[in-house]
Amino acid sequence: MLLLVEDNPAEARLTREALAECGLDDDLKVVEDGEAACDYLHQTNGFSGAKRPNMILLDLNLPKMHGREVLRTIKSDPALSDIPVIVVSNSCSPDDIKESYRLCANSYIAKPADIDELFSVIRSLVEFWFQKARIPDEP
Amino acid sequence: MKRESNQYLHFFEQSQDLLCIAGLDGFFKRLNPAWTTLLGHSMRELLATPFLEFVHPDDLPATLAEMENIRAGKPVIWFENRYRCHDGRYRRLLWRADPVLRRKLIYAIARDVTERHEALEQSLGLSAWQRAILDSADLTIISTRPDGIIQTINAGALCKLGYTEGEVVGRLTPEVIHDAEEVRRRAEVLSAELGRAIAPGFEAFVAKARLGLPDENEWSYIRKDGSRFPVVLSVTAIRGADGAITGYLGVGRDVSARKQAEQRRADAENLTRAILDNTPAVMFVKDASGRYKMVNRQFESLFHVTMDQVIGRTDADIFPAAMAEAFQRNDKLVLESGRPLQVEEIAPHDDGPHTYLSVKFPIMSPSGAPQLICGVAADITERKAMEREVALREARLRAVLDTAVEGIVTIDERGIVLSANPSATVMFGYEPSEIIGRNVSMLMPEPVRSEHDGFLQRYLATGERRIIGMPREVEAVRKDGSTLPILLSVGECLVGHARIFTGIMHDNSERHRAELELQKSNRDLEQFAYVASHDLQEPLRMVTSYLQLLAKRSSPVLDEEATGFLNTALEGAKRMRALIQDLLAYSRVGSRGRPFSPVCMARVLGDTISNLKLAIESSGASITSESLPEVLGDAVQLGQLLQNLIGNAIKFSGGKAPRIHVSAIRSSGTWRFAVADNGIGIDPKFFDRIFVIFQRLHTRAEYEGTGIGLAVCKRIVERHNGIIWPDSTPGKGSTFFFTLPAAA
Repeated sequence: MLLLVEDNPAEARLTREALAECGLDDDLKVVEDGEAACDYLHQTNGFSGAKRPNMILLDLNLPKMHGREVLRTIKSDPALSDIPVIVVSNSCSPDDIKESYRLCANSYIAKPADIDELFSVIRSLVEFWFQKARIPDEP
Repeated sequence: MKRESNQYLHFFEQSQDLLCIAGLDGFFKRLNPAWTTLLGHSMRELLATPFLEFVHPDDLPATLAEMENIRAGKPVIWFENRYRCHDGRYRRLLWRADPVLRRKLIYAIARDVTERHEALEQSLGLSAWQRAILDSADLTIISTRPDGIIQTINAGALCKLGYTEGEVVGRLTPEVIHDAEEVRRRAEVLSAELGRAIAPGFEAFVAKARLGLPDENEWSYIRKDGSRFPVVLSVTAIRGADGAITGYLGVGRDVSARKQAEQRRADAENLTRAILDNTPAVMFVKDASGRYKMVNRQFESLFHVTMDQVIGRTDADIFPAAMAEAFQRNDKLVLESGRPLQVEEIAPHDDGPHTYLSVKFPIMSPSGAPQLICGVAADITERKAMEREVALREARLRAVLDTAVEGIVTIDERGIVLSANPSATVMFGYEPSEIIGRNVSMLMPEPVRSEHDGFLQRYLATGERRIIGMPREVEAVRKDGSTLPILLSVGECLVGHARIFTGIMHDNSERHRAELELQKSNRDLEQFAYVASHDLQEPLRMVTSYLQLLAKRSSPVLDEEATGFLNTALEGAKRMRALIQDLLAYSRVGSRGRPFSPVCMARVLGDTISNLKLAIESSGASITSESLPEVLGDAVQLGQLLQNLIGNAIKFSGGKAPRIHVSAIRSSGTWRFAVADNGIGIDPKFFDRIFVIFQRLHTRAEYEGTGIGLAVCKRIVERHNGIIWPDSTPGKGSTFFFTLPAAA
């Protein structure tokens, strides 16, 4: 399953539309901020029994807890660090890109402005991570 | 013949005159009896004795001299000497002689003139005691024979002239002690006066005396050694009982002393006159009634009058009434008080009235009353003008100092404060008296306060300038201990040998605050632009994305018009996105710039060309460059700069194949780059607008773009402390120049 950390419901909807084109929209869980993402992953604060995702799509610019912090938390937790985290951001800033990889992001996607491009990027992601790449099974 | 000669013999024997024939060998050969009668010697004795042995020893030199003349064949016409008698007395003989050299004989007649001589001496008063009187007189007394030969000369004359009696008496005429030129001139004067020719000789001395006229004249007497002294000589003719002239008497008074005194007086007078005439002061003497008695040359030349015109006149005759009255008032004060007066007076000059500082003082008569008034007046017009100028300058300077916003302090070489203007005292919170006279280091914080004396000394010793002439910001301390930033510029000036330093201080606190605020404001603005444009992107993306989604999903149900609206909305969103991205890029120049490092511009150009590869190939552009230098800057931004400029050159080529040339020339610490193209050019009236963000000169249909490129270029160049400017001929091409700091 896929976890999308995105505070903007409109963005989330677009991502869901793109995933739908690939037939993956049923398996999508959306949380709206960094703290909620951590709670979800740690199955705390109402997320008890939450399903461990196969991959995380992480926006950087999040309320409460910044995406970078979420990334740091995931990658420094041995129980979670093996989940691929794809940073999906509006920022093209080299600093953000560099910092994300330094914190062990598995890839960094700058959200394209054009919807066709967005759909095509999401399709490539799905194809790569779910069909081409091998990722750990659930423990 | 024989009888005749016997008759002559008779005369010879009977003659009362002394006749003789003498030989050049010094012996008488034949004498008539008158000799034995007169002298008492026997004929035998006379013939056997050399005749010179009979001559008075005093007369011997003269006699020998006369003998020389005879041996030379000259007849003796008038010669006197004394012959010894048998009884030891002397008789005075007056000789006339004729030499016959062929026979070595002298035919001579002598006359006994003893009595006559004594009579003459008597008439001259030449008794022994009278002689003593003559000799003791401080006069030159010389008597001559009628022919001029000196007969007597007194001791005074001998002493003054340096001759002995024997050298002159009976031998010389007074001509020897006279100046020939003076004699000649005198002869001329006399010739004119007397109406007949007077020969320039002895005659010139006696011509008037001979006529019985009084004759007193000034002459130069020439001593034997050639030196001279002036005499006043009066000449008198001496006459015998028969009234015939028997000689002349010249009495001379040595007037050297008088002459010297006269000379001294004349010298003193000349000196005084020279001083009076060469002083720049105006000098004058007036009598008690105000009539001028003397003025100096300065007076004459300034007031265009001569001394002759002024003497006897009063101020009222010479000067304008008002001035004359002022002069006379002052004169009156001096005359009434009998004391000197120093006063300023105005006198007319050609260029207008001049101010004089006059000292007027009285000269008293023997009775003690002021008799004359003297004035010495110096023209002080220039000094007065200078004083006024100095006062004016002082006032101006004072006004500047008092009203200057800047604090202005002067110090001496030791750092002691000489002056501080009101702004300075206010700036530091001191009273003037608390600063002046104290060391200026009191206004400085440590450690500068302790080091300042050393700075000053080092400057004075080495002349090494650290701060003079270079305004800089320093920290200063107020009386209350608080500090303030001041912009200080130090100057120095030499006053005589003393050096004075001036410090002009501007309170920079305000500017500091403003600068900090501006920096903060700029940062905030950049941050704002960045954040705003960044945050704008997301909603815009939503607009675009959902419009696209709408188009995608709903196209089958939308009619043509609705599809058109949708596309227009999409176009607007797209353009807005471009603008936001440009704004971001523009703000990033300031906020995302990197520190400067040496950048090889040739390399930057290479990267730029490869970035623009597509555009270059499609436009057929050719890009050439000279060897480009290394500069100090931000490589990424400099790449952006070249990319924008070259990109523009390609974009605005006007359909031709673009030819672009990049070059650089060095000017001291900077490089001036030029990017020249052959494109459409820019009208110079748009030169200012092209650098303003989002300013466009063309419609979107003509050329795409937001109008950000040159604005970014300007920001990049300015961040590198450079300037950028265009040069262009519309239709021919444009050249963009920009300066960048050299790397080394």
